[in-house]
Amino acid sequence: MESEVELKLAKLSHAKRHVEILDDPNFLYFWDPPSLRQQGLSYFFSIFFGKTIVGGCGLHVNYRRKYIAEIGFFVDHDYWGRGIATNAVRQLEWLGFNELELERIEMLMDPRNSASERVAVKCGFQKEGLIRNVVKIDGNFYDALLYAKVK
Amino acid sequence: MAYKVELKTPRLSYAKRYLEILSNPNFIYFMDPPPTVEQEKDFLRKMAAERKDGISYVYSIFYGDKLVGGCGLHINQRRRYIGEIGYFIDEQYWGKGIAPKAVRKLERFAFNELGLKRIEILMDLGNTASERVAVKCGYRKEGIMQKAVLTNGKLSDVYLYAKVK
Repeated sequence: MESEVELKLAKLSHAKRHVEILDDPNFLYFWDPPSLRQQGLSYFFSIFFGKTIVGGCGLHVNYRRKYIAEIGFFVDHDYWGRGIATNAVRQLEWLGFNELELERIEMLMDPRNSASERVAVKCGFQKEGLIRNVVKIDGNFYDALLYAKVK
Repeated sequence: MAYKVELKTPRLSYAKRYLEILSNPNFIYFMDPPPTVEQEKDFLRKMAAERKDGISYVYSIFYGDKLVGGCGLHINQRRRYIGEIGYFIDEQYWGKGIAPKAVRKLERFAFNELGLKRIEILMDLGNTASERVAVKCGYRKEGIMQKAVLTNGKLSDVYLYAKVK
């Protein structure tokens, strides 16, 4: 039987499990600073698959253009291929377009991250371009694919 | 004779002149044109606060002793190594290379003093004047962003141009 995918606001007690998931060399993960959460510009959730935390995802509202946000997500490698990320993105999208009244949602991913790209395509996001030097990881800057969905 | 292009920190007293420049119907300007001098002053006050916080650096463009436009650098608040440049010039002063000069000055400040790694310029798909400025300054088109910018009260698609360091 398939368990239900649920998003719950991330708690500090989820941190250990998040680290466990992210501490995986197979990951292409874009790290994000927590400072914007305080301003109500970031909504960050833990992804539950049944009772297990299997990942995290978030919606980050653009500071200058409040009708735009960016979605990010990660899922435990052991749980890939079950449509969990797709399900989580659809829930975030619902929150974004209906509750926050966004007009545009973006997703950035490493050009080699085909798993993430599949999620974007499955959810109906469109590729808008390859944007350079946009993501910083460990002091290095990387290009990313820009996908977006508009209302 | 060509005059010198200079960027100066805007004063509240410039609001009236800004309004004059921006109420030109030929403009494809991101945002609604400011309806009153008082509202333009509010905008300039907000920008002064954002300068203190390192969020926005807005300048008035002077051509000789004339105020001919405005420009600004807005720092991406999620990724502080990215900035966006915007500009507008009084239509009477188009074609004198003023906007590219202003962009180059902002760019130098952004890359050299603020240590940015990427600068973006967004423009309406129909704004060929603005696009020429971006190309002249060495920016590259990266794509079309759907419904990304509010122009005259409507969300429009824009070209995304960028330059990286």
